[in-house]
Amino acid sequence: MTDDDRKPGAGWDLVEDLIAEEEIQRGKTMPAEERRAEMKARGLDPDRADAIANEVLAKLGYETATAAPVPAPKVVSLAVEREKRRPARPTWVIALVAAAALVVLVGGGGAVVAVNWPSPSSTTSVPQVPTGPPGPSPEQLAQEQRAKADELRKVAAVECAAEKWDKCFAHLGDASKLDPQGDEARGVQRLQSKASRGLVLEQLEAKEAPGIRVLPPEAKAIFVAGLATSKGQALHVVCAQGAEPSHLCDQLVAAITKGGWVVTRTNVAADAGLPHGMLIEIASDADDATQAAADALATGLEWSYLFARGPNDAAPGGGAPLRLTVGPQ
Amino acid sequence: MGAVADLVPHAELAKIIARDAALRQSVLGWAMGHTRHAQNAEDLYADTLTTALDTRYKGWDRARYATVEDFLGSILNGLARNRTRSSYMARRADLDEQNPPQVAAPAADPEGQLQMAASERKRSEMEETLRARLAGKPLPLAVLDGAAKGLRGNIELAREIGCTVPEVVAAKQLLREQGRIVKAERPSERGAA
Repeated sequence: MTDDDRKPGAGWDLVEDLIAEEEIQRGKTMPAEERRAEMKARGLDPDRADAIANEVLAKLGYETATAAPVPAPKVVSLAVEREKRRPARPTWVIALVAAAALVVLVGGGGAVVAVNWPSPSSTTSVPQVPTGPPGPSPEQLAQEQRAKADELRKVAAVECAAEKWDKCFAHLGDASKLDPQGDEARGVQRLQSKASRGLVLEQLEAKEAPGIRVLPPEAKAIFVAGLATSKGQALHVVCAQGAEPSHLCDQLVAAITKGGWVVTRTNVAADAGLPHGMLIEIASDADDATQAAADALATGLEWSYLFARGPNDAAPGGGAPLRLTVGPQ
Repeated sequence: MGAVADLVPHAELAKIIARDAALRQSVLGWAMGHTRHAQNAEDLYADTLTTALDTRYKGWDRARYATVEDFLGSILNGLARNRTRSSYMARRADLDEQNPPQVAAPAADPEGQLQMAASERKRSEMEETLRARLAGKPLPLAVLDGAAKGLRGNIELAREIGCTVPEVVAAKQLLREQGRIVKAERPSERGAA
């Protein structure tokens, strides 16, 4: 592909479309009331979305949007409602779970009575024709899709652990299509990053002999700034002996220290069972702040053209909660 | 060579839109992000649905647009770009649409040309900034190049670049993240939805 084939700015269209896709998905996954409130705050009437859609659908000869479900009566049997909704995982519960940075995705929805009704549509100018399709309801379908997505993510986790990056990434992508909301969970995001880094690293290793690893001067400031959000974070750096890893270690330790982290360092023989390349390990019982720091470190290294594996889980409570091993190339 | 089309029947897309209130509201919300004017956003939203559902158009090809959000978002963005380009559309509120007067085509209209040139320059600058941020990352840059040649689907991009589909997906994710940063860093983009 040559530069002549490219129209200036045309690639930006794709970027805008990617952002649009994510924004629309984000809007969809918001609780209905929150979405309506946000629209109103921006001067939009949420009901107009239904009215206009119905006008277009009717004009083109399609069935119009189904009437919004009638809100539940105010006096209900909590036990009945709870039982009715037990298998469902309301969308906003997932958002709360993600916000609380919990890794575990499954279960937990049983005690919550969902109040996530779609908005009523009272101002439609086109008669509403119920179009209840045969078969499972949209909510049932969504629930089945979430269950499938959970399964796919479990499979992906096993594949990532075995460093089968392309399979891991593909299964995460499949899961994302079924349950985009599930991507908000921190554990899933971490797995995606891990697979992404693994793929790139694999490609780099396959295509070219590794050069001498250095922290490029132009990337150093960005790297340091990226660590600033985790100031005070303790990190233990394990460095293989030898000119190349030792020099890289010097650079990294200096930069990470400049970022406000508390770094300790150990030098060990290169053949002391060290992994090749770089590896970030985090104690499996590490707190949220340490996990966030591990992610920041991995991202910073990636943006400095230095790819590290991980963050991988290490044994809980053993040594430093966060460790970076700079092994031989 | 493009991937084999995976066309969703228009009637099926109509059912999806009819059933999904959250999708409808989110698309209208995204239109507002473009226009920052409620009435214009409603017009843009209506045109988006019409374009997506009108059988005179090709419709939703899942080989190019994996999700309905991607498809509708892309149509909406394209319509918004065309509106910016067209001085006729910019002035249409002042015109009698049943009996439109003769309006110079954008190419012959100095004001329209200026607006269009500014818009093109802005997009071009944003892309160049993004490319600079991605220096040393061949895959996302190759995806941008492919997109500039009209390729879009993950499979066709992977074929063009000579990589795997997951790598294209990863590259797109990086483009999205960095694209957001580039947009946010432009003063004129701050505050956009």
